[in-house]
Amino acid sequence: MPGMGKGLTTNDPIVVSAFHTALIHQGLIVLLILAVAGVTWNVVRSLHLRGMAAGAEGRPLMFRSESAGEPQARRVLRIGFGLIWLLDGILQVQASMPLGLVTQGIQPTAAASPTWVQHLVNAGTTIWTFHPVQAAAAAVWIQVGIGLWLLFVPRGRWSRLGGLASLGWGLMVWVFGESFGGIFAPGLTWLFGAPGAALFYCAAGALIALPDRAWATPRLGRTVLRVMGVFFVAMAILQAWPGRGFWSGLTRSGGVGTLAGMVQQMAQTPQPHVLSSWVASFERFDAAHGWGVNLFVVLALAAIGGAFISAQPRIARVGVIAAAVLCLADWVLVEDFGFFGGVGTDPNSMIPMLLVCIGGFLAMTRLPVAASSDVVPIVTDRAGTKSWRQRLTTSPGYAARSLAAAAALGIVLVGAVPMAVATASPNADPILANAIDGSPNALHYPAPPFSLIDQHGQAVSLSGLHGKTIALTFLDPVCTSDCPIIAQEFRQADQMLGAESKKVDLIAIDANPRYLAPDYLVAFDDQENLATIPNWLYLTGTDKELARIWDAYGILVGYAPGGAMIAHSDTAYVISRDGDMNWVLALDPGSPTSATKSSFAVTLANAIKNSLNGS
Amino acid sequence: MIRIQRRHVWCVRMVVVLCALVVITFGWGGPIGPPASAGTPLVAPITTPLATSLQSSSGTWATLPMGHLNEPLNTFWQLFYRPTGVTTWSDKVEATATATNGGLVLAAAAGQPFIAAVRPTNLLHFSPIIHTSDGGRAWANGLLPGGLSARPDALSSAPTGQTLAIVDRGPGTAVLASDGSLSTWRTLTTSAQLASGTAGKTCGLQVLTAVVSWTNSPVVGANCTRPGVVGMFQRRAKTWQLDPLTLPGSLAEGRVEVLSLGQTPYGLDALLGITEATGSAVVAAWTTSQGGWSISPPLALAAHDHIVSYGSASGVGLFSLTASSSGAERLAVIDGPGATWHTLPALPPDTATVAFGPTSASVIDALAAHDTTMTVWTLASASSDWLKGQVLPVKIEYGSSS
Repeated sequence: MPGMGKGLTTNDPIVVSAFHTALIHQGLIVLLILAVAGVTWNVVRSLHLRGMAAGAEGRPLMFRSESAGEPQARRVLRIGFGLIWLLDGILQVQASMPLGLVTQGIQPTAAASPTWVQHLVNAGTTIWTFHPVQAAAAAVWIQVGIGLWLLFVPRGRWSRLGGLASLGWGLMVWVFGESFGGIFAPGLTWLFGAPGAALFYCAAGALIALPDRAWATPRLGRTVLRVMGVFFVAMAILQAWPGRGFWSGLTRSGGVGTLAGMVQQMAQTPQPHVLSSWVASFERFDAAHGWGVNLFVVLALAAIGGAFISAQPRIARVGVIAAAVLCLADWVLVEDFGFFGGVGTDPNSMIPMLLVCIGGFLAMTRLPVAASSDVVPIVTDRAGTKSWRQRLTTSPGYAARSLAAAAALGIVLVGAVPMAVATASPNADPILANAIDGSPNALHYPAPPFSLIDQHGQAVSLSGLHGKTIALTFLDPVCTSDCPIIAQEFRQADQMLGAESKKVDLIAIDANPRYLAPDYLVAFDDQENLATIPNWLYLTGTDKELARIWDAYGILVGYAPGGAMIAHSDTAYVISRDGDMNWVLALDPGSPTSATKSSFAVTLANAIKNSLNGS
Repeated sequence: MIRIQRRHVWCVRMVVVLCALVVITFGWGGPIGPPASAGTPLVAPITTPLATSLQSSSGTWATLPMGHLNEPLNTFWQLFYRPTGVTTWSDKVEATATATNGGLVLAAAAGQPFIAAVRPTNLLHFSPIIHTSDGGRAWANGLLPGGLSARPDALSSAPTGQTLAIVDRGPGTAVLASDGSLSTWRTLTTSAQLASGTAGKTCGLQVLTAVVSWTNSPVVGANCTRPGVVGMFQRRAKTWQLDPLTLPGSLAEGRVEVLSLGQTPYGLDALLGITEATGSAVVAAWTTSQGGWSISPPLALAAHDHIVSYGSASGVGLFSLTASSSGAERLAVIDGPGATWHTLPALPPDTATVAFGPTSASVIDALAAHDTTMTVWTLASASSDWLKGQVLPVKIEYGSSS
């Protein structure tokens, strides 16, 4: 019935089940990759040990620690962001991710941004909404893969490549997932996570991707700290800017101020009671002392920024400690840890921001030292002069790094490849239509006959259409919601059929007992741009003729009270070229989106193709 | 020393970059909340609600919104009917057989069927029409090849059988005419054509607001930007000319919008909305036997008043139902040329429109709607109290238009 259809809920059992199934299948492939990597590593190590035992008599066999000699700052960034990516990947497993992430996470953020940002984000999220299962599963494995890559590949080009992977995927998340961290939206504030957590993932990825020589002097650390310092001071100025609602805990009308309002929202997120009570307490505190809270934040941000800009180790150390306290306080009391509520994808910006600050400080103060001389590498040859094959067979460290990186890349590809394949199709996954209205049902009986006139007044009968496959539905020409959508789905299905559409007639029968004249059908066709489709027929007749056909096809039609449109079943049939019923499809669009419309069109086109193929 | 100077220069550069960054990146972010609108007029323009009542040969028709009025797709416009000589109303909206979220526009003329056109809403882009000659027992249909404009006088039928309509077309509007079928229409003019003509330029035409047929010739009302000019266009000798209706000096400084145009047994009536820098007012006008106009004294509206409904009163009279920002409603009636506006007793809450008659011209029904209940309140002649009468529950199918 128009308007009475159910939409897709974020935890739709069909989609969630498909998501979990995809994760299990892909998880098995990941296990296989890890097993192959483990076996390969054992083989390589055995071969290597055997060779070394023969050639290094009398010398103790010691493997050089893989992270030995890695600058401390880089290690902090690599392990910190590796763990965060891993956590993000695990958060992506939440059941509501396939259908909820875009509607509840991404679109509300984008809605506050300028139109061009919304268009860009919509273009990106179309992939997710058209292929929610593949996209959600891809996000899991890509992020888990990057996390493992950073954690288990500490040195060398493979490790730097992991940094680039973090930078690339982080950029995708920042643009399409976080709408540029909301920096183009009004109300930007450090307290709510500006400029977006993913931007720090990008920054960390870029730092990890730098060559070793970049970490050899304090210059890199100073630069990082100064950039962060400028950022903190800018955020302080923004926070102090009058008229943005932060200087007052309450509005003039008695409502809560900007910060308290945000915190109030966060406190309502489903989470353990103890956490929500902390957040609620802070909301009350800010409502009562909004001016003081903002003054403290402004001064703290400015002071931390100043300390970082100075790039003096002692002052910067105090700045880092202060930043840690402030970031953690904000993370708990304002950002509310960031990942509760079912569609939380990361722990928000404070932890990544803090890691970058610490990384910068360590890069300035803890310069790398040469590897300890009492740890004797098994391979003493200069690796740089060897080919990768030689290095693989002679250097166990290189072999381990390469295998770990290959395994991590494999995990990334486990998610990315199915996603790329799905993206190649411009049409949405049929699972969306199945989730809304169920799968098409096969039928095997002769289609009830009809003899009506079309939109041009020409007589049309079912028997006269034999030899062509028919997609049949029932549409109200003055319907304001479902029927125009169903008509467009028919139109899309016709396009998907390509050359085969010549073997198909798309037929609608009038489903409004008051608007029977062909004029209304022509007006509907004009409205929906159907007049140019050669195989489109919109049929009508007398109210008695139509009532008999509605009854024969099980279509319920009735007047609705109170100014509602005519109520009728949203159903389509696929009739074979011999006049037999092949498929019946429920076509109630629910709450339509471009993805669900495309999905219904795919489902209809598939049913028509099955009928054309005689199955 | 050099090192200190270099550091000093670096710091200055950083501060400059910082300031530029803040101003360029965040400066336009502005305050959180609704942006301040530039050039907001001191007095809001007069609104044109669709709720109204109309006399036809068989009885009185009224349309008003019900349901959840703050949700467009859960607001359903109803079509109430009270036969002549009967005191009870019934809901005839089911005859539209389509969703009425966009509103209904009514038209009737002596000897002609009563017409209701459904304004398009949601995914429907043209206007279905229903019409009846027997008080809603039997209905026939028509359609407009476009969406009817959201004006209570965007549809008009004449005793000659001609029907006129204003439809939205592209960025502007068009005036269409049908000679009976209500399914076949021809374009008389468009807002762009009218605006580019001499008369349109004199007016500074913005939008077309009302239409009526007079002596088998269309008259189109409009909103003029030129102060004191009344945008009433009549087609004479194949050209559109401004009607020489001039307002008295006290009103000549305001911008005029033709709110309604109607036929009376003697000519035309019009309701004009006048917006000035200091306030707004409503003025009624009637054609005189000498070919001129009789203009009423202004009915002043307070700063935050808005019009809830307007239409025909008994005889050649007109009514204006306004509400203040507090929700208090005021019904003012003017009986005809030479009369003055008089205000009736305070209306019952939620009154959406009023209807005159049926047993006596001095009896008035106030139709009050709240959610799914329409209540009829009656003001008897010489009474100062509205008496609660019929309570009509309306079954609303919430969610059916989503």
